[in-house]
Amino acid sequence: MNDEELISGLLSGEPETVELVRAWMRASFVPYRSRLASDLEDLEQEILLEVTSALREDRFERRSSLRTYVRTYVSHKCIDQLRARARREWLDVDALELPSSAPSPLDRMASTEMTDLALRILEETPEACRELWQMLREGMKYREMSERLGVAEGTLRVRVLRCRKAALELRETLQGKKTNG
Amino acid sequence: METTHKNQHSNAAIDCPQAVELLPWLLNGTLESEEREELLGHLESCDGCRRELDEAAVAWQLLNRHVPSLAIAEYAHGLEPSDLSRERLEKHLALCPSCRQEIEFATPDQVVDLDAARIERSIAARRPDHLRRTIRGVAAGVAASITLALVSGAIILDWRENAGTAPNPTAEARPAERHDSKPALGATGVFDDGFESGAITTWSSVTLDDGGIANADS
Ligand SMILES: [Zn+2]
Ligand SMILES: [Zn+2]
Repeated sequence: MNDEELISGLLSGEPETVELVRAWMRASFVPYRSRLASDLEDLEQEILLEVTSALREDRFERRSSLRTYVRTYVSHKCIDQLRARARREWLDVDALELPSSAPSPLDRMASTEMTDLALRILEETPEACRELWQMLREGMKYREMSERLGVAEGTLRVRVLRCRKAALELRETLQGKKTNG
Repeated sequence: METTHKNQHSNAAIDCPQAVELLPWLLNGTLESEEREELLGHLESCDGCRRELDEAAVAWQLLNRHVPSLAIAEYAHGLEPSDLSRERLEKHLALCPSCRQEIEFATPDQVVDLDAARIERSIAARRPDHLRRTIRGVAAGVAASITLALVSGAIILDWRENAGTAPNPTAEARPAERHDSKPALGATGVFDDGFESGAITTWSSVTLDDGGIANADS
């Protein structure tokens, strides 16, 4: 079965081709089934629409077979969905409605550039600091963190502060390196 | 009545060093409500600590950054990741348990899609032209393909009865079946005795690294 035939079948709404694409999608959903349970049906519908319009607008670059494209797309959307859920619990500083301050320098960075910078900072951050960030990400209270690490609360807070300062210095160094050549 | 009296709740109101230290937990949303209110009250009136909050938010944004979800999915499916070098991605994976877990979930070898194989056969069977080309293509291509596939280690033999095997969505991936271990997989080669006749053993999917057999009919 050739991909171009499948694409035209899908675009013309041929039931069996649509069913085939749905079967590929369902197979890729398997590992997410329990975690995305209630969202799966909507997600399947949404992905099918998005894939169809990507094909219609010729945005499928043919870097892989259609099947791998569809499955990659499903994984991508499932990861997004799970990430969005986790993010909801974190605070948006703008939502605090504090007196306004200067826009963050990050706001002016292209997203890919920022990802690269952020991942480099994390790479060069000491492991002890990474561990602290991980606990914060998991939503641990400072009391829980100090218990887990067996240090006093005051010590813990100072450590987190030092790690933060160090990360921001690292950012300046890395960005400086880049600007200076 | 509207004025905040800082000494109202505790013996000492929160001071600047304390406020700055508490910011990470304001950002991760885990401060107790009383502490949170005190901190927000302090931030309202203290420019210095608001700058610290901005800084903490920047650090938080940077350190919470992960490999973009599309790049994770592409990597898991054996494609080159978009917008990020493979090297940077792999270095991050070595450090980050959550991205590693995402890769693991997205990796397709865990899945055997018998449903899809069945539908593909049925689509092929309904297209006589396609069918003839498939048979010719498969006949011509099978010998070379088998050799290739054996060499590449990616051959998948699905020894099942054509009829009577209900697709089992919960089927576990058997070790010998590694579907999609490489990106550019082609379609499925169908070599079926009489197609819908319910006969003998089926080559339901002979999958090559480079899509070899898939192109035999095109
Ligand atoms: Zn202050
Ligand atoms: Zn990560």
